[in-house]
Amino acid sequence: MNRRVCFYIRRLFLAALVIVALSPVLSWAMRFSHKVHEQKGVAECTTCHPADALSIIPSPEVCTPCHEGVDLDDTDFGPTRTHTPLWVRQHGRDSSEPDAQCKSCHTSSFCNDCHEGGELSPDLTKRTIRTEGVPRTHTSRFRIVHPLKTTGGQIDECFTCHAEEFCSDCHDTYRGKNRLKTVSHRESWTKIEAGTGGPLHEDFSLGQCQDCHPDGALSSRDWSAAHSREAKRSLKSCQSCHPSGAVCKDCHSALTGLKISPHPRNWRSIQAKFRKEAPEVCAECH
Amino acid sequence: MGLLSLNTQRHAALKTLIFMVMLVGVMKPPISRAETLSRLVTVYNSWEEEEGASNSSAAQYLDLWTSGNMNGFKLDLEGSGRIAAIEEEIEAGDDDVHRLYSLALTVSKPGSGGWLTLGRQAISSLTGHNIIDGVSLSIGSDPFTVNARWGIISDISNDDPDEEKTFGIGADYLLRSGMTIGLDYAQITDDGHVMEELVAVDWTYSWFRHTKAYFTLNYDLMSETYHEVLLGTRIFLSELITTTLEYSQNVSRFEADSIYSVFAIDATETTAFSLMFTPNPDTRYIWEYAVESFEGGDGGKRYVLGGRWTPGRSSFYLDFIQHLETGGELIELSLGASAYIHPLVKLGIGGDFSSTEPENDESISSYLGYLGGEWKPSPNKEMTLRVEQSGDEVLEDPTLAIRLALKLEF
Repeated sequence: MNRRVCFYIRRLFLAALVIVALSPVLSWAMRFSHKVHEQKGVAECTTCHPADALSIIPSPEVCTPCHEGVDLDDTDFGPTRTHTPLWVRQHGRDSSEPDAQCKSCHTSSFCNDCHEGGELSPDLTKRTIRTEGVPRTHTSRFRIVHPLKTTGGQIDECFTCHAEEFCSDCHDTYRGKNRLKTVSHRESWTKIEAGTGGPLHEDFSLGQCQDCHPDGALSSRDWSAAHSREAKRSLKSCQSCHPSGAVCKDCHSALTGLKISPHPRNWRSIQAKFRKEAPEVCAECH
Repeated sequence: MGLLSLNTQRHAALKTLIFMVMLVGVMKPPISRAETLSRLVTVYNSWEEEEGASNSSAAQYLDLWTSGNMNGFKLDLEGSGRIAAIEEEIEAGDDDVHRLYSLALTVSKPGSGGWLTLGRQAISSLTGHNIIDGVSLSIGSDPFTVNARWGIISDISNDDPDEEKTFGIGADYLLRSGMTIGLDYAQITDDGHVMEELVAVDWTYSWFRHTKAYFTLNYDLMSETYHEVLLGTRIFLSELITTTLEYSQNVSRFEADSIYSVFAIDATETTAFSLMFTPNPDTRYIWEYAVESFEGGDGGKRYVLGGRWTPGRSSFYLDFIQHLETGGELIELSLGASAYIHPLVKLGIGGDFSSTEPENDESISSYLGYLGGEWKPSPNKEMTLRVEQSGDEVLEDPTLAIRLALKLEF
C-alpha cells in the first residue's frame, strides 16, 4: 500500500514537473484584438492607421490616449518585422527608468507635444490641470509627498522633465525652515561646536580647517557620513540647490578647507579624460 | 536678455520661417496625391496659489502634416507650433512668451525600409532660446539596419552663441525570429570638447507568444561605469496571467563640464516582480513588489495593488501604493471612474489621498478630487473641462483649479 502511494506520489510529482516545464509552451500572451477595439467604439480604421503612414503598425502615441504605457508592453501585437526601430516601442519604458536622459536632447515640450500638449486625452484621469504632461506619480500635492519619492535614484526621474531650478525655486522660498531640509542639512556643520563648549565652526575661516583637522581627519563622522551617504545616492539632488558645487569645495577642494578628495575609486584611470575635455573643472579645486 | 540676443533670436526665427515656407513651396508642385491634416488646440488653465493668490496660463498648438509621393519617393512634412504664456511670469516689455516651432521632412523609399529625416526646431522660453537642427537616417531592412543621427543645439540666449553637437550611430540585427540585438554609440560635444560619451547594447527576445526577455546595457565611456543595466523577463503563464521580473542598476551621469562629474556616486539597484491577472478583456488586477538597495547599504520597498475595469465604454480604476523607504513611509490611494451619459458626452470623477510619515518627523497627508467632462459634437471637434480641488495639512485652505481645452482638426 505504501509502495503504491509512493508510486502515485512520484507520478503526480513528475506530472506536475512536466506541466510546469511546459506551461510557457501551453500559454499565450494577451493578444491585440481589433474586435475588442471595435466593441469599444473605435469604428474607423484611420483612427489608429493614419493614411499614408510609414508603417501599418501605429505608433505608440496612437494608443496612449486610451491605454497606459504598460498595456503596450504587455500586449502581443503579432510579428513586428516592419517595426524595426526599437526606440519607438521602448521609449515609454526607457523614459520612465531612473536617470533617463531624455532631457539631454529634448525639452519637456518635445514630450508634451505628443503626450499632452498637442493631443487632448479623452482619459479624464490624467492630471493635466496645472502643468501639461504631469505623470501619475504626482498625486495630490506633490510637494507634500515628494521628499520620500525623491530619495535615491528616484530623483533622476524628476529631471527627465524638470530642470534643476524647478527644485531650487521652491526650496529657496522655504530656506531656513527645518522641515524642508534633508537629514544632513538639519544641523549644518557650521553650527557644530569645535569641542565641548567651544566656538561654532562657522566662526573659523577655511584656511584654519587644517589646524584642527590635519589631512581632513574628523573627530566625529556623524555629519560627514550622513551627507556623504545622501550625496553618493542622489548627487543630482545636491546639484539642484548647489548648481556650481561651490559649497562642496569648502571641504573637498585641494586648495583650502579639509582637502578631502571627492573622486571615485577609479579616478586614476579616468582623470586624464576629464583633464583634457574639461580642464576648467579641475582648475576650480587644483 | 540683451537687445542683441533678442534680435538674434528673432532673426533665427525669421530664417526658420522663411526656410519652412520655401521648402513647402518647392515641394508642393511635384507632389502627387498630397494629403494634409491640421490640428489646432487651445488650452486654458486657471489655479489658485498659496495664500489666496491666483494664476492662469494659456497655450495654443498648431500641427500640420502633409504627405505625398514624388518620383517614387514618399515625402512626409510635419510642422508644429506652440505658444504659451503664464500670467505671473509675463513682465511688461519682455518677450517671455514660450514658443516652439518645428519642421521635419522625412523622405523614404517604399519597400526599402530606409528613411531620411531633416528637421529644425526653434525654442524660446524663460530659461533660454535655442535652435536645434537635426538629421537622422536609417538604411537597410530586416535583418540588418543601420541608423545615425546628428544634431546641433545652438543656444542663442547670449551675445556669444554656444553650440552643442550630438552624434549617434547604431545598428540593429535580427539574429533569429524574435531575437534582436542593437548596438549604439552616442556622443555630445560642446565647443569641440566631449561632454558625454556612451555605448549601449540592447537585446530583446520573444519566444513565440510565451516569453519576452530584454537586456539593456549603457556604458559611460567618460567615467568608465555601467550607467544603466536593465535585465527583465515577462512570462505569459496563460491568457490570464502575466508575470514580470526586472533587475536594474543605475548610476547618475553628469556632463564633463559639471564639477559633479568628478564626484564618487553610488549605484542604485532595483529588483521588481509584478503579477497581472486579466480574467477578461474588461478587467485587470495588478500586484507589484519592488526592492531598492544602495551600493552603500540601506534601501527601500514598494508595494502596488491595483485594478482596472472597463465595461463597455466606461472605466474604473483603483490603485494602492506603499513605499517603505530608508527615510520613512508613504501611502497613496487613488481611484476614479468615467462613463458616457450621452453618445457625445463623457463624464469623469475621481481623486486620491496621500499620507507620508518621514523618519523622526510628523506625518502629513494630502488629497485631490476632480470632476471632468468631454463633449465631442463631431469627429473633428472636442471640448474638455476639468475642475479640481486639492488640499493638505500644511495649507489652511484648499485650492481650486480649472482646465478648459478645445481641439479642432481640419
